[in-house]
Amino acid sequence: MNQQPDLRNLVLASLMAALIAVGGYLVVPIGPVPIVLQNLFVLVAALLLGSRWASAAVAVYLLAGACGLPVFAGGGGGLGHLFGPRGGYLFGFLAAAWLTGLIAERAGRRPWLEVVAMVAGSLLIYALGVPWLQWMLGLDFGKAMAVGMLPFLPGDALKIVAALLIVRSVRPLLRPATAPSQPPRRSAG
Amino acid sequence: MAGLIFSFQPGASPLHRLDVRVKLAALLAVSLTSLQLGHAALALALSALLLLLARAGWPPLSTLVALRWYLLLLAIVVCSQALTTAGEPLLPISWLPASRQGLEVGLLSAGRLLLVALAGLLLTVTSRPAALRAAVEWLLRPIPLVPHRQAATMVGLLVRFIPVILSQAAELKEALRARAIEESRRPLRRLTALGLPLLRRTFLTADRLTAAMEARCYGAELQRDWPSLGTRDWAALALVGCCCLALLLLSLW
Amino acid sequence: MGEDIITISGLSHRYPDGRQSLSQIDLRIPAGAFVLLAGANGAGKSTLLKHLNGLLTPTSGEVRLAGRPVGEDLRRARQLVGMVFQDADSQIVGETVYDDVAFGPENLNWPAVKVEANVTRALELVGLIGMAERSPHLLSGGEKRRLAIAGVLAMEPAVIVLDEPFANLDYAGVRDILSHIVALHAGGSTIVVSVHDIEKVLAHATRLVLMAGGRVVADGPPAVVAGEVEAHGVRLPTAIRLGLEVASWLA
Repeated sequence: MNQQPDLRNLVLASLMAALIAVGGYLVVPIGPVPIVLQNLFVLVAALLLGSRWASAAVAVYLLAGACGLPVFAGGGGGLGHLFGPRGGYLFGFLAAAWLTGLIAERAGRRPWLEVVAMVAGSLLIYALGVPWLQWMLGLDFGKAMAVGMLPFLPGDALKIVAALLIVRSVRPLLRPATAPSQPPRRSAG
Repeated sequence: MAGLIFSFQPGASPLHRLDVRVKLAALLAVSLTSLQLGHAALALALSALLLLLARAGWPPLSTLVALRWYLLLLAIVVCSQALTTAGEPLLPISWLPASRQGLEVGLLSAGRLLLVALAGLLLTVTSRPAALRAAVEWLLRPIPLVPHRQAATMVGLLVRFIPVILSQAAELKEALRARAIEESRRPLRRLTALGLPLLRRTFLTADRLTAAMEARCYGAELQRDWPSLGTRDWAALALVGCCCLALLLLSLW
Repeated sequence: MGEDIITISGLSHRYPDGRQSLSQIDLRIPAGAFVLLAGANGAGKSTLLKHLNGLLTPTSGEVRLAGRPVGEDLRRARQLVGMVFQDADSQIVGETVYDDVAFGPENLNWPAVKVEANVTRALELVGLIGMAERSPHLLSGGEKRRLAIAGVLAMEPAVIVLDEPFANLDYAGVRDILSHIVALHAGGSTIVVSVHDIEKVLAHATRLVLMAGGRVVADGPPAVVAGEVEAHGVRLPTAIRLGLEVASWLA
């Protein structure tokens, strides 16, 4: 395609941002704590798009929420949500996209390094989210951990493995910008 | 949620006609003011916002229904504050250490959060998404290193594609249910069965969307002219300022 | 019929991964024509169409629009050749119907007054003027397709290219879109429509170009070329099989 090389990345990052927003509403009921797909998509975006465009995707998601578009799970939206009790997790997504992307770019598609990248990113989300929650709700640290982190860890482990599988399978679709946008055999609907 | 996303209600109320930049500034002012408000001022501000929302086409009841999950969260805030703050016991039950002071503090912080949420909702209800996007572009313009035109395009695409992806997800969930995904004992499989097709579709969409945007000449520098604020806009800004000030005074006094 | 608006000479295209998709295509399309581009899936129709506005670059050969090569001024090419893609949902960019139609004219940096006039006229032409503030997501399949057409019309194209415009539409939807295409042709636009089933449009086309394996295998008046389609993987309309004339779907 004769495209500006960045346009496709821009479109992809926007769609990943939409997917992250939708992910907040996609719940897979496994075990006692339902699994939300939101941070799964953050991790996938980081692995596929790299640090710069993945953080752009999360930033756009936060920006849309900040100016009042109701993209945050639970409705409402606006600055109130961003600086509400769960705000730390939201900013954590931004940091996680950046960090996971950064490590993944250097991982050269080695699975174990990609897992390290995702674990680091996931922990970063809690590193921002839990103290924020603790401060906002006036909890003590142990309680904040019990409410805001521990119940989600098994799900997170599962999500990291799922992200790895998903990225493996989707990566071939990430052709360089010089490739055709549609293979010719796919033409009629 | 799809209903919420498109909570913009076309209308001709005075709020609809205000410049979006003024409304964003007002939202910011209200958010900052809310941090300092006492009980009386907060109650006043909340009723005022509910009235404005009703004027813009959202009666209080449907507003509260739309915010039900947020309200649940606020209830948790109130309870946790009430239970963890030391003070005069609220109930004569020894194992339920709720204090009156805690309840007050909890209600106050919940009220502040609700105020900001309502203000945000008011902005969404009365502003066209495209106008909001353009205002974001305008706000980002003075910030260096942020490509404001691209950011605005991305926000626009985000808003456009959330409902598309949502309905794809709903379709997919039905297809999976038709093939008994709920019987699957492997949790990993249940995650990938939903995540993978969604992502594949997103990538295909991205390819086609890129071509369609190119075909319609996206990429050229776009000049957008911003009309300067009118008398009405300045008056509204002044009014919001005065209200915030009055509320602050009320809280201090 | 006027002068040639599209001149394709010796066009070949190969994808970066080596697949040959088009070979030695020569085609001249006069202004005001209604060209039906038919072929099985994979015949190269979409790839050919994407050369008309420079979304793809020829490996060899050339495409000229009103005398000037496409690659010389891509923006001119994309303004002159309005392209309606097959998948309606992934070509709608705006959050509302109005915004989507305004997308192209705004990218061309036209003055606000002209943008507004063009958007309104385009929405009137496709009958969506009452839905300007709607979210595109809430439109029906046929309405989405009409929106995509309006988005192109607002850019004042000379040629309107539609890739499989009838895909996934019901009978009413097909008739609806078809009547709009026919009206645009009557209004003076050059129309290029790609299809894998010719029956729906054959009665209205002034010319039928048949593609197979990346080549043009037949080209001429619809009545003449239609007899050859079956040999190249396109279904022969039943009427022709029975020795009748294909009737308009709008009748």
